[in-house]
Amino acid sequence: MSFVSWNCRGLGNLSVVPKLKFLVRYYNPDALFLSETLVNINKIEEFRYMLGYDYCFAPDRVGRGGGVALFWRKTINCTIVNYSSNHINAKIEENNNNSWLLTGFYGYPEGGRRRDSWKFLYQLAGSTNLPWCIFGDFNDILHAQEKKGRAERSNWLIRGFRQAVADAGLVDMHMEGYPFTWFKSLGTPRAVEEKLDRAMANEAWMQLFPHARLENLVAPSSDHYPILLERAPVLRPHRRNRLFKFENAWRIEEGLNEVVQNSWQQNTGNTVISKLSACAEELTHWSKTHCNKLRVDIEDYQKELQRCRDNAGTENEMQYEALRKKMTHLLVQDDMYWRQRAKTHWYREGDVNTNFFSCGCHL
Amino acid sequence: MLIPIFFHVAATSRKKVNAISFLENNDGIRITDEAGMRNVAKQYFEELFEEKISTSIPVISVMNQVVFDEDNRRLTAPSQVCEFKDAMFAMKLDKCSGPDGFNPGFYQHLWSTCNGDIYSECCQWLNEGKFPPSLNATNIALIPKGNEQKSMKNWRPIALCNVLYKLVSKVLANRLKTVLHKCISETQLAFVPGRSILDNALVAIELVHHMKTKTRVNERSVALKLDISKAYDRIDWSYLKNVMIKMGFSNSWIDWIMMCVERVDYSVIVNKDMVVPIIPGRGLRQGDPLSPYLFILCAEGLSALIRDAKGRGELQGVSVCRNAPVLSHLLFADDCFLFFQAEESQANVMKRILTTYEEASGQAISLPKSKVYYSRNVHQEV
Repeated sequence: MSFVSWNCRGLGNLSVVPKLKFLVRYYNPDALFLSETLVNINKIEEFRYMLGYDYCFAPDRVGRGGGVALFWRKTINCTIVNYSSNHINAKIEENNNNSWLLTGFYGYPEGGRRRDSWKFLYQLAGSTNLPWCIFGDFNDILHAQEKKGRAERSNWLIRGFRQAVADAGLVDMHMEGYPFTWFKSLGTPRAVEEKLDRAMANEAWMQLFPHARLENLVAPSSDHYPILLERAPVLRPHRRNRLFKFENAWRIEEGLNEVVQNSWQQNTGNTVISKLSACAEELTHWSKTHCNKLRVDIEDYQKELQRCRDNAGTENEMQYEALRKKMTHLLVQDDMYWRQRAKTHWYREGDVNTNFFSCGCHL
Repeated sequence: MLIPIFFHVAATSRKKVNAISFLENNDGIRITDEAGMRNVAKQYFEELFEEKISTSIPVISVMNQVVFDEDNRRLTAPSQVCEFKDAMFAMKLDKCSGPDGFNPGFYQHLWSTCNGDIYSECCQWLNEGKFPPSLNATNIALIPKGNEQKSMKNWRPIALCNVLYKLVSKVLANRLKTVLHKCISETQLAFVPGRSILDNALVAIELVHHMKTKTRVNERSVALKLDISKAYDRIDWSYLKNVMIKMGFSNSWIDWIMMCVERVDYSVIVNKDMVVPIIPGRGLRQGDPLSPYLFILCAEGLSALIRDAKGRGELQGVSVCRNAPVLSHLLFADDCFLFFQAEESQANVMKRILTTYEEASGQAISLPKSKVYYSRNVHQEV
């Protein structure tokens, strides 16, 4: 299950639609939290439909700025607990009867309301005793290093936010990828980057999802990057390397005999086992340039044949014949390739593709 | 004639059928993630192939020597190039390769290049009585069994051996075949050249028909069809060795066979991922050319036990008419059809025989899947 939070800087502009669609298609988050939507609830409903989510929720906006929205699929059991113009609290019930609280947070952007933002965070913490995870745009940083460029953020702001986080019993989650999530005036001397977006969770949540993972994504619009939270990432198993397998289609490819003979002779005196493994290596190398894309080749030759026939001329005739030969060769190889995989050992060369065979396939 | 579409469809649908989407573990909990399924598979095979203590003496003691010096000389004679060639070219081109990736198609196509080396090296292995370590590495592919695949039990483990190993094993199997008719009693009809399952079926039908129509009160009989679960995978190695010793196979032959059977390590393929080496302590591989023949050698123990009990008059078989031979059992590989008189003493004797055989060979008879049939004149008894 994965969640994306993004300060999208307005959904009013139509150009944002394809970008959001791409984000959803690419990372396929089960829930999407957007801040600074700058649009009303009816517009949000439109976006829900376009992005293919099953449910959405957005509180009414106060004034012209801000706006938060949460979209989610029916794959997660999610109920809205409470909300304000700066946060949405959703209770998520897991299959194993565990439930936890997810908060999409949008810290007051105005510099003068930092204290309000911290107080609000503390209030949120007091309102629940469930395992809790909060993510979003906090408009605050925890370390001086979380800002790059221009003047350093004043110490009391950092200390204040740190205190608020500690009081709320939250722990900052490590973010993979680029260290900053917001930028301004990049490429100029006044360039500035900050880590304004983050995810934090309390002790209980961390215990519930010890492998949770946070990643900084890229997006083609907005001055914020989206962040992706995976509460229990699927650990990719160690894929075995593509092992060598002898293809029967190689048997009629020119040069196979030479390759094997050479490798055999080079290893004279070694055991058969080591000769074979040397041979396997040679063949892997060789096969990269020989019959590795049969289907594409067949199509190319088909077109070539057609063109050649249409421009019929005496000089073309020889070429036409050669092409036909090559084409037959490729088709036989294709046949061998699939036969090796079909495991129909009862089939003999020379049988005809009758109805009987196609019946066999549908079984 | 080219029919790529047919192969294409067959290959694609096979892939679909062979994919494992979930497995139930021992507690019946459904596991769907790949890592979990690999664990279930590993645990299952480690349990299945774990060596168990067996007592083979009661079975061995009733068997006779059937192989003599002349046969042994033939079995262990120096091998010929043509033996290897025949064995290699008897394999199907498209058969799956083992862990080394070379299928029979490769060897057959390039036989002229590599036959000399292969022949001399195979002879060397046999002379030394030792295989190089990687030769006997085996992949296990899982093939669905039955209509519904729930737990590991519903997947049939097929061993994919290296073709080079199969070559040696096939040469040995071809030799073994020539003496098989001497070792295997007439009631076993599987795999012995010149015997056919049809004979078995005919005799079985005839007997059951006889039991159905018979009305004489003093002759009551029972037919018992046994289902042996995981027959190949549970064969006990020391039992196999003792059976061969008792039958009179020479030491060097037994060493060859045991070298093929014992020095194995398995990797199970679960949806394209490998489950790390599993070192077995028992079992024959389904996919090794030798296994069927070795299996019927083992099953011969059961025949011997029954024959012994019959000789001492503890068991009576069923005979169709007065002069017909009295039959007590029919075997087809691991399928067993037993006939005896419906008396408590005989049932107990049969039970004892089966337990003895189970304890010796490592086989487990699954009673829920076994079937029993009484002749018509038998009244409801225990």
